[in-house]
Amino acid sequence: MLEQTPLFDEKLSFHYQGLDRLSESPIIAGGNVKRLETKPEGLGGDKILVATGMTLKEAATFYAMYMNFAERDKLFKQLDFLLDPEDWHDEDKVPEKASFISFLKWTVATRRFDWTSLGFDQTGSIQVAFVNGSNQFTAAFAPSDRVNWASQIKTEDGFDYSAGQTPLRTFATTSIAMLDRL
Amino acid sequence: MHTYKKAPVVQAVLQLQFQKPISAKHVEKITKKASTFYPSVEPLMDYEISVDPAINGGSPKMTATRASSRMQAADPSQMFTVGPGQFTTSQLAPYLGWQEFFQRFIRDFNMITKITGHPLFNRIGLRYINRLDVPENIATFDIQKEYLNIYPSVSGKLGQYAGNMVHVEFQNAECDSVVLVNSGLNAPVLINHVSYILDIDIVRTNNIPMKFDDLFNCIEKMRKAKNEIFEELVTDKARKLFDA
Repeated sequence: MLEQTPLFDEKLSFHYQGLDRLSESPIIAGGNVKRLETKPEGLGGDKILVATGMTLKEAATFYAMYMNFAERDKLFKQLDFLLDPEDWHDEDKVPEKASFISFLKWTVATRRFDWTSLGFDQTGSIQVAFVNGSNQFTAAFAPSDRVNWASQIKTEDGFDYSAGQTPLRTFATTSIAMLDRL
Repeated sequence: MHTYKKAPVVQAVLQLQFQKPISAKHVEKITKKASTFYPSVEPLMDYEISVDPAINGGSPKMTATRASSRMQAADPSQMFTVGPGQFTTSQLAPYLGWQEFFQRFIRDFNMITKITGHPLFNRIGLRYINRLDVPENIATFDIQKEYLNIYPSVSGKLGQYAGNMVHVEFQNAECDSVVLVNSGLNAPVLINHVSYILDIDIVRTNNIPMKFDDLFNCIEKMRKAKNEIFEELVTDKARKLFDA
């Protein structure tokens, strides 16, 4: 049986312990089975990138019911492109799962799957970019549920630049209007 | 059974346990064969720590042996594990329905029996973990009751509601199985939503059929029972969420 003792998290809500680790358990069906004392071997080199890609894609499965196949395919292809060992530099930081989850939460909340590209910054945060001609909107999702964003919109009087740092939940609301300006 | 547009299945798991553990060599052969379908292979190791006071003043010695393999397809929602005592086919979201899942299980099953011969099994486990994402900012018992027919009943004088988890076990005579249900509040997965888990686990340890066709029919029965239990435990309001 999976460990199912509920735990308090910082938001005073129960967390179904083990749910985010289901796939890591060698025995996952059945109520009366002891968990094996097993753990994965260490990874090295390019395998880290492959493992990171799998980890991020696995995280996306938690949101998969809210994506259609084209949206999921686009996301996975972009991850494969970004985590290609051929183009990876040793000094690059592998992306943070928590940052990717923040991005997924946002994209499901706003239904904005029409991004132009994804990227990772030097801190391991996921960046998303929307480009329409000379108009641009970028956002970097920090693992701490904060979003750094920047916008460049062409107006009759010249470019309108703006930038800010916004909590994720607020950003899910405010970014809709900003993206509509693109 | 109605197929939902947004099936709430977070993970579906079908596991068979061998009556007699298969050899490490068989695990290795199955892993090699399965890597055709599941190219991502993660060896899971058993670690044994021993201390002999007569050697090196009793310094602990750790030895590792490969216990099982956890494998994933190129699409990481498709997973497979094999070890001396069991094999498991599982599916993370998106869950595309029983036909697809069960066909993959049969493919895995055939792959194993080709290597091990005709094994006997002493346990079947079929488990579906569902998550209901409810568009509310605050979790209350009343909201939980609107979506689920399984919830706790407690005095309202105990203080602020922070969470719950209900565990129920019952017999299913038709499948000769035990059903374990866990349900309760989960950490929210979506923004401005609360999430509830509905985990249905059907386990059969008695009279496991030896013939493969009978075994598959038995699993089909368990699946039917699982669906009936699921539909009993969710409300129409929850069904609307799955079809939204």
